[in-house]
Amino acid sequence: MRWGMLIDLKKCVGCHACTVACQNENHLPLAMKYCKVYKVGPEGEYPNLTSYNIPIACMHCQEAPCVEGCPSGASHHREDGTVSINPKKCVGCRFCLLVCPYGVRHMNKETGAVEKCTLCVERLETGEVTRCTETCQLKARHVGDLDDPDSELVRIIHKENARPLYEHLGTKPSIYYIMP
Amino acid sequence: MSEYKKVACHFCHMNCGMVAQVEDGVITKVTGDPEHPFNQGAQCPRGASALDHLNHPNRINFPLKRVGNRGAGQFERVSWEEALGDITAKLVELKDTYGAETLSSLGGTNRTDDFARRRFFNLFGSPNVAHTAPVCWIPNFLVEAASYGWAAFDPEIMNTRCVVIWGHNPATSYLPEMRGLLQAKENGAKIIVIDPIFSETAAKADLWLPVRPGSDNALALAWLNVIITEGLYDYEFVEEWTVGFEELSERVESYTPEWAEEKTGVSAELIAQAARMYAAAKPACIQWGVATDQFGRGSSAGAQARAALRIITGNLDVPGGDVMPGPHPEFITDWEMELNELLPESQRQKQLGADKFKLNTWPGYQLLTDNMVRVWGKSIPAEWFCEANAPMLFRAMITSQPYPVKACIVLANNPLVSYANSRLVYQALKSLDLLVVMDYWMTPSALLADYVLPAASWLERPVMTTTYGVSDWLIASERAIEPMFERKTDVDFWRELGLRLGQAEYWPWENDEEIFQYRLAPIGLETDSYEEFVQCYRMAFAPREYRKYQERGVATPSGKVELKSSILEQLGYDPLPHYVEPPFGSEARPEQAKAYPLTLVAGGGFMPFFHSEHREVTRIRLLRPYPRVAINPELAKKMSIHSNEWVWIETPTGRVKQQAFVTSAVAPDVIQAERGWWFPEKPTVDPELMGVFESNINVCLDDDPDTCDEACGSWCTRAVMCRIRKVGEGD
Amino acid sequence: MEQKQEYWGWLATGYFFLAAMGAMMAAVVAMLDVLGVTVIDQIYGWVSFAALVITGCGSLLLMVELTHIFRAYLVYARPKSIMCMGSYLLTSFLGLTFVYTTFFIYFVPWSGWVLVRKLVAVLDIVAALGLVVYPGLELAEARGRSFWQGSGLVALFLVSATSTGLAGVLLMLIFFELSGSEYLGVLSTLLTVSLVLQLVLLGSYLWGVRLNGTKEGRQAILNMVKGPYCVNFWGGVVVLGTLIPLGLSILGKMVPFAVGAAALVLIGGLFFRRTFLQAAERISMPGEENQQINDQQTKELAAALESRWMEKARWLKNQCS
Repeated sequence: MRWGMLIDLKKCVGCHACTVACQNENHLPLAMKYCKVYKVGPEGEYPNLTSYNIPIACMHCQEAPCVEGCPSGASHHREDGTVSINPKKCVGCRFCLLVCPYGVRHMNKETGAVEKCTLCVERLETGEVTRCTETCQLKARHVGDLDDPDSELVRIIHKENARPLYEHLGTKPSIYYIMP
Repeated sequence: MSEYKKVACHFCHMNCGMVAQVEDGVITKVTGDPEHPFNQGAQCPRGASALDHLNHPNRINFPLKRVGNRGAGQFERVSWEEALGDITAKLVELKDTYGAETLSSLGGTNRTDDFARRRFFNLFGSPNVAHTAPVCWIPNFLVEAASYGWAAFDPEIMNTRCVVIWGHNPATSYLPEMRGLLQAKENGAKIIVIDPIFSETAAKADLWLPVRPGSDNALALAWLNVIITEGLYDYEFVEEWTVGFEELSERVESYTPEWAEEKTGVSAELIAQAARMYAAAKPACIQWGVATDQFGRGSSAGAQARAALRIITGNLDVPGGDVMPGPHPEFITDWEMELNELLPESQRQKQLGADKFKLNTWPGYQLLTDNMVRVWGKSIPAEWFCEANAPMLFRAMITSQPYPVKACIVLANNPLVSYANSRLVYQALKSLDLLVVMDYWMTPSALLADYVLPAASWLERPVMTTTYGVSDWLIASERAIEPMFERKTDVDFWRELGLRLGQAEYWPWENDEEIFQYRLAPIGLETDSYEEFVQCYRMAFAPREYRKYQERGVATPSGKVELKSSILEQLGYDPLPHYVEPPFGSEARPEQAKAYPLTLVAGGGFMPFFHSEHREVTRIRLLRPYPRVAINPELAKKMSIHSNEWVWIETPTGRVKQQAFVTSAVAPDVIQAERGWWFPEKPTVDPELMGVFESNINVCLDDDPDTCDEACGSWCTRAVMCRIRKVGEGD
Repeated sequence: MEQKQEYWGWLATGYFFLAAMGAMMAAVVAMLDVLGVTVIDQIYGWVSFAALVITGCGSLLLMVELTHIFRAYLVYARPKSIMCMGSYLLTSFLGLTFVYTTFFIYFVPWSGWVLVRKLVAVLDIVAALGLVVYPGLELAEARGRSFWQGSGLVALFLVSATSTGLAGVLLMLIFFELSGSEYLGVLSTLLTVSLVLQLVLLGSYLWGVRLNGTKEGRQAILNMVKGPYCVNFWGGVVVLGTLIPLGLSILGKMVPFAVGAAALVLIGGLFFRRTFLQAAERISMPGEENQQINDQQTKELAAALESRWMEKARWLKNQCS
């Protein structure tokens, strides 16, 4: 069992619905975003242009620098493969913020603990999809079990040759992207 | 105990279905309704922030009456009783002095139940209701209606082979539509996007035609030329069902792709290639795009050309083509609710602009209605489709010519931001004897009001969606909670004002739900209440029929699809597609071209805002905190402008500043400025008015009636000569 | 786009600097002690005490940096993590240095156990070296910050620590008025060598990153060489922290020169840690550079808007009273 997600950048239009829905779902401080969406480009010269949008949140890496680097064990892998933070164990050293190559962790000043996307595991466990998947108007997100070769998720990943972002960093993310 | 209410979002006119979780009368969560056909469980960032909007500390919650000078920001709380009593007394006095036509109303886009507004106005006796309608759909709709008896506004994208997205960016404005578009693309449909800007939608297109702003009409004419010259049109349909093809062929002969290349900046080959792609694909459709209503003079001429394209390619009302819904046969439509028949002919004639812009005022509306009633049994609503011309209305407020307009009720609108020529609008509003604004917020326009009334938003009122009253489907949604504080629904307001003005017999219903239940009754579902309908059925779609003209005939004077429009001809307009110089381009004003070398595109929806709304919802605002003007890197370099620096945008009409957004999405001689900007955090007094003149691009736009569309009075927002310079210190 | 590494700021800089300086001060005297150099052994105890205090201060900075100081014990919880290893090294070093210092307290019963003292000295050297070296490995864990390259950082940190450690010992010598001792000259020479080495390593490190590094690595160097950190880098690290003290130490072995050189080396060491921590920007996400406002500005704007809405709410309410 390993939860994973696929984001179809051919579909994403960069509306930020996921950003905001996630903020509300998790009652985040106004300026804190578990999921950011960046607009890439347009690249080229008018009118020969390309452009796309990319949402970026915790990649739930299998070889997660944050988990490896956490001195207290607050950052850990759950059995379902997601990277989770136990706020009671977080000492607030910020080393994980430093080592996360995707810049998706945040120090919550109110709790003194580091936070990030949880992949809505408590929703997944009750059979719901993640909040960002639910709210996506373009249906650009799919969530499922990466260990199940028959899952729709794995099927699309193979079919579309989806890849994680910055694979060369070797963190083995569980978030895949269909590139535009 | 949790209750789940089926509500409809009204943060734009998509009206996505939502589910509100209510606990002890308090809404705790709002999510997308997975069973709703439009959004299928999704929400955009605005929808996802519904509760921030509902509970915002700056919402207007009680009626306010002005106590200081107009615009001084001094009000006192009064009861609804007192407010409505005062307004009634003033209206009676003004009507006695100046006649009913002295009362006007301004609206924006659809955030409200406009049948109620029109019902009130018809009963009051004034024809002077105006919206931003002339720059939003109405020219296209009415030109189509004149050509084939209704607008073919429901392109069946999912079953089509080719979609033309013309002056439209659904990726930032109509997300559910964009989802459909991308699915169609996966199904193999070709996507052609026509836009001077490399939009989010253009980025997903198979073919993008980067036309020069305002040159769309030339492109459409050249497409007609290619399709007719190369014989790519649908002979059978043209032969059997149309009139005027000969004249059309003659007319477009000179509009060659080479001719259009010079106007559009797109190569003749690419123009011809796109035309062939569109014509060869069967079926194909052309999606309506709001930009095509905003060229000022020539807007409806362009609509004529596009209507002709749909006709000659045989895509009219066919599966996968441009489907023409017609009115719903059973439920009571907006038109039936409006009581237009009660507005005397003498008052119709007084409608401001009716002598100049005849298609979307009583003269044209009457002709269209006669034909529609003959074929469909029903017409389109007068609201939106038969209105006073806003630029003429503002001028009448200022000059009292042709007669004094002394009162205005603004509902679901912030006219200082949403109409062109903001300083003139400002002057107009300040000239009034009575200004009533009903809104969620203290907007800049509300600050000038005598009475500011608290409006209930969509979680606090039921919403019945019928696409401005012209679709053959309806989607019904209930309210999640009763209005908070002393907020009221728009229907409540018109009704209660009407009751005080002796309209009691026409307002027998107590509330929105009773009205909607009355309107639904003819469907015959025998539900006991509106809520029951929502919970059990939620929607009613008329059975989809194609090629309805075969059985019903065509709602035009000839009974045929008219390539040469007799209605336009009768109104004194050119009945055939034709080229019109964009009113604020170098072609029409060569003497200004040197001082204003750039072309301004003042518009284009962008996430996360809807028009002038949502600037005060913090989470939303943080996504796009300041206004941006898109500038090509080449131009930016030439002017030493860096990203996020403030830049003056200047036209002969005015200047505002926005932050530079250096992007190759625009051509080097074009800039695109965001619209709808004001700053709710800025000082709430006149003349700052929350920064309404600082970045609001409508300050730079002229609405001189002579530059407006000949038939519909649309003002120009899309191709205006301008210049820019970096904002200096103390500047 | 991240313009700099912003998570570890002055506190971490201070810790890295003080720990490295203290560790190498202790290591230098322990080394001399083990080698049997007795001429200046009268200050071994003081230097090692100073090292204890300096490193201790550094550890305090580290504690202050934590948001949950009362949970600080949890940093020992996962020995597999490099940071946890660092905590063990730090604790061992502090302990060993403390024990070592006690040998120089005359009334302590074991003050005469020379062999044991030397054994502790050896262990202390090992711990000190570990303490100096691990930050390089720690920072190298940040895969998205390719400016930090492990092997190079280890060497560089070691040399910089040696310079600051030597400078510390030098200052102590002078403080205890042992400036006449020939060891001032020896230490001064060692410092010269260390500074030369530091210059060479610094140059080759930057060159190496520039040649083989990624976009963000090269950007980090640009930021140092001509970007926002160029004053700190050229002024603080290169000129003040290395070249001038190098000149001074070559010029002469006179006390004022030595004091000046040592003091500047310490300042340089601080600048070095600061710049090297700050400059290592993270690999940029696609399109990250297109954000209209950055995270900090977002926070500020959010607070400003919220407080303005409250103010407006009061204004609206006043109309209603």
